[in-house]
Amino acid sequence: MNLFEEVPYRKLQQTTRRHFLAQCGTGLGALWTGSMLGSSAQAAGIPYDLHHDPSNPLSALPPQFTAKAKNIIFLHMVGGPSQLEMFDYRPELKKVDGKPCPPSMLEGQNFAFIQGTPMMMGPQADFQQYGQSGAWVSEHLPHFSKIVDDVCFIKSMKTDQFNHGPAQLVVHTGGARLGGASAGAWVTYGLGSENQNLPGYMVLLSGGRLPRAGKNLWGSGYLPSVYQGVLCRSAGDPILNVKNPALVPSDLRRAALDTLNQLNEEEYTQSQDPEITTRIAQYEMAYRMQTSVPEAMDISDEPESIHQLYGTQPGKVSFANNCLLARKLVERGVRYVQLFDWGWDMHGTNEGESLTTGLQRKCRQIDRPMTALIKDLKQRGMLEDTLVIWGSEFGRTPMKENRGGQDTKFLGRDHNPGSCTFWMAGAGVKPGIVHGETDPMGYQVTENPVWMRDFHATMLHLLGMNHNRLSFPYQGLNQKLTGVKSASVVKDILS
Amino acid sequence: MYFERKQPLSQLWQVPLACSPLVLLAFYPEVGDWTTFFGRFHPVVLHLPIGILLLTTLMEVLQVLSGGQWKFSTRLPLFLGAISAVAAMVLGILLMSGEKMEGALIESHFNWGIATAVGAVLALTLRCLPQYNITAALPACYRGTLILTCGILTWASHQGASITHGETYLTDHIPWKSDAPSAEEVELASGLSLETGEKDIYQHVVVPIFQSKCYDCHMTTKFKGELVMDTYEGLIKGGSTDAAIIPNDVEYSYAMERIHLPLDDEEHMPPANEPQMSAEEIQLIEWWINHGAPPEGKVASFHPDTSVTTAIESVSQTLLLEMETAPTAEIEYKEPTVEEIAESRAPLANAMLTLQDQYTGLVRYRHAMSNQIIVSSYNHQWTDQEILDLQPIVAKVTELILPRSQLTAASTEVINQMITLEVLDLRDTTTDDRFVQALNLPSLQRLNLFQTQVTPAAIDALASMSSLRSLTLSYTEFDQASIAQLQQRLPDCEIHFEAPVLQASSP
Repeated sequence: MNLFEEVPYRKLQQTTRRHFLAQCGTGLGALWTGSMLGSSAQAAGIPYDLHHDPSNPLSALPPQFTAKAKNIIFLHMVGGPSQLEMFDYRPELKKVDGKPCPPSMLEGQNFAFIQGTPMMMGPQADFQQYGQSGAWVSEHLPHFSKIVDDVCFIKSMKTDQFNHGPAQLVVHTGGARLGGASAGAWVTYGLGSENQNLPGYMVLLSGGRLPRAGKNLWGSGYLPSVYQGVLCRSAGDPILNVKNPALVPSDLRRAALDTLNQLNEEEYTQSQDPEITTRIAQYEMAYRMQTSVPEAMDISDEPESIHQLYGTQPGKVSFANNCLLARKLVERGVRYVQLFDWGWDMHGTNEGESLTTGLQRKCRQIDRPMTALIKDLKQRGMLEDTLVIWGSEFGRTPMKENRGGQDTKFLGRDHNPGSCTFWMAGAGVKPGIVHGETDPMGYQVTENPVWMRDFHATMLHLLGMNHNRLSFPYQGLNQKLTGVKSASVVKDILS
Repeated sequence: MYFERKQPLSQLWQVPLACSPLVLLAFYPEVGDWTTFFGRFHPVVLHLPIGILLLTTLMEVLQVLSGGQWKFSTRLPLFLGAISAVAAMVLGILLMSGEKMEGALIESHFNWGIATAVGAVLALTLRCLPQYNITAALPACYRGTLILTCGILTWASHQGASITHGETYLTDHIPWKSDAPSAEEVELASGLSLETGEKDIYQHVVVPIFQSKCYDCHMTTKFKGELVMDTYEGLIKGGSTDAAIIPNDVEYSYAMERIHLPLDDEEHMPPANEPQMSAEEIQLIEWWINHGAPPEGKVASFHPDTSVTTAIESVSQTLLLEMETAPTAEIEYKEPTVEEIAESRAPLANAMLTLQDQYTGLVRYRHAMSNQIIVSSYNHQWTDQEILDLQPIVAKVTELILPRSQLTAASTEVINQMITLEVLDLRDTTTDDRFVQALNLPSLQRLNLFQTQVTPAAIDALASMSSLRSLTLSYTEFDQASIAQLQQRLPDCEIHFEAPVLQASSP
């Protein structure tokens, strides 16, 4: 019996006859309520009964119902890219450019930096409609604008956090506080991974810095630690400390591991701590990864046509390299690949964070690679199994930022949890549609709001799992990725 | 100051007075129209004991809870509650007998209704005993009886309401209830939406009509005139007068006789104030009777003429609209139980166990409730020899995900036996034209030949795979012209094709 089964069992043992009788007074009412609400409580979810192989906790499990998607590639633009300069074209906003923001838009809102009465600011980019779907895309994304018919835009994403760290946690763990399990951990917990020589959940960084909320964004939280994301570097050793030290041959490594495993197994027979089995499995995977990871993470053997498609330069750390790596990893059966690209927090405090040159530079960095990723997956017939998600922790305000009550040096916008744009492409998602609508200022969602938890529910649904039933008992609650607020699958975007 | 007074007189005379409505039982079992006439006052009178007894109980409870600070005179309400409870009971018995109502629900309501009246009279008796203010236990007994009576009364009234409004009346619109219709509705709707010829003549044509027009008063749990219409046996057996349905004899089928009576005739069915049968519905019932009123059988096997098929279609459509629940895939879906899953997997279960042991993680079920199988190869390169091991499970393999495997045309012998195979992924393999030409897979929907040695010579073989919906041929010897040619021959298939092209470098 592991710890999680033991806790409720022990609790039952502590219930005496006296407890039972004392509880009868309220207990009968509770029984009645339970039977009355029973049917709807069941809708909230009988937890899935997942049977993980303790010696191989990442082995592939079947989904709970027919899955449209098998793999996820999540491109997170860290900082909150401005939807108003990229996807959410608001011509009305141009007309009020430079006018003071009406008080109705400020009442009851939290801002990270805006103070007093800021000025409205029109879109700082030209837009055009593309493709058969007629989706609006800004001039900053010339490559991407050619594939809008493969993409489903959600213009009505909403979150309830307006600072980077908590908002990032909401996107990846479903809650604004530390300690939750990340979406990738949930997915690998629910489905395992197809390739036992690679981690099931891999994380790639670009842009120069870690996201504000740090490694919690790919942590396993209360789930067994084997389901946490493995951070890979796209230059140098992909995973630190996996390679054998100099002068240690592989067979010596093997012998040392065998001895270690033996000791761990002895310890496990005594303590029955499931984390020990996890540890053994981790050591074994690390050993297998010594050969499989360098092979999977090496993009130099890709043909020149692919390098041109993505704009990759082997050996450098870049979003482009990470996109190509994401494709390679998914091709090898990695379940969940998470990319973070830092540098989208355009407050206007310096040139790099300006809506003009700064945003253009960032757009240039991602435009070709993300377009190439969709094209490449498509030409390989892999887009039918892979769901690509592009998004961030929140959007930006239609007001110009006025940090400290003064105009910033460059043009910038503040954080806006009220609306932001995500796009998805691939498995199970309708291509060439725009879901949701924002007000004429691009400030708040007016139609079909999609909360982050709805997005999680939708993603799990596409992977063949019900978000109410993929749960894990912790601290007296069946924890879920979507949390305790009710979430729903966005059916309108499902193909 | 509160002075406890001795009760000078017994109040017990109230008890026989409260029981006086029992004289109405003189009209039981049935005395002309009088029984029904009085009986129909049951729904009027029954609300009195509900209100009065609940109020009395509330007063008593408040009195006790406030420690005697609040005092209510409960004497009169208690008496009125008891007499109205007895009256409601008696009228209910008359109604049941006059309208010939029967069934489990009626019987249960009958018993609980009597219990209510008995409880109310008992409470009144206890309250009226001369020792009431002397013996300490009596008030407690009285209040206990009263509270118990309220419980019985609640249940009895709920059952009564279930008889008139239907058993799901209260729960139909619970806001948090899932919108999913009940199992019966789903079954009914899916039956109604079957193709006309595929419908069962009784289950999908006759039953829905009776269900919408007759069941309210003639079903097993609650029926009038001794007639039960929700079972085939009940129809043939009939009610108090005659057999409702006589096979091959519309004229003497009593149900049809009542249906054909003029609307203003008292005996006409359904009752004049209820929804009436349409001409088409009557036509279909008679068509069924004329074909021997069979309890089952496909509509097609009775060779319906066009007027019958159009009638079936329009009646089904109307009934479906009435239900407002056109069946969708989601509604028809019912999660199978663990036993059902195990049963569906049983034929191949042992073979699967062996294979899952041998090829850990590579062979598994499509999803947790499915008996279909997926074989994958992300960290294993299947060989022709190993593919032979799949022989025992070929019947259920729906996806073969074999990138980078080492298969040759020799393996097609096993693969072709996978007649339910929907996805075949051979990207990054040495698959050649011979391999593709040897394939014969009737259910194949997706074929991935990315970076294989397939050439336009295989175009005929590919074009013959008419079930294909997605085909990937990038990085093969195909060119735009041959792809266009193939696309023409496979119009419903999305073909993914990009040739590796080097572009002039752009910024």
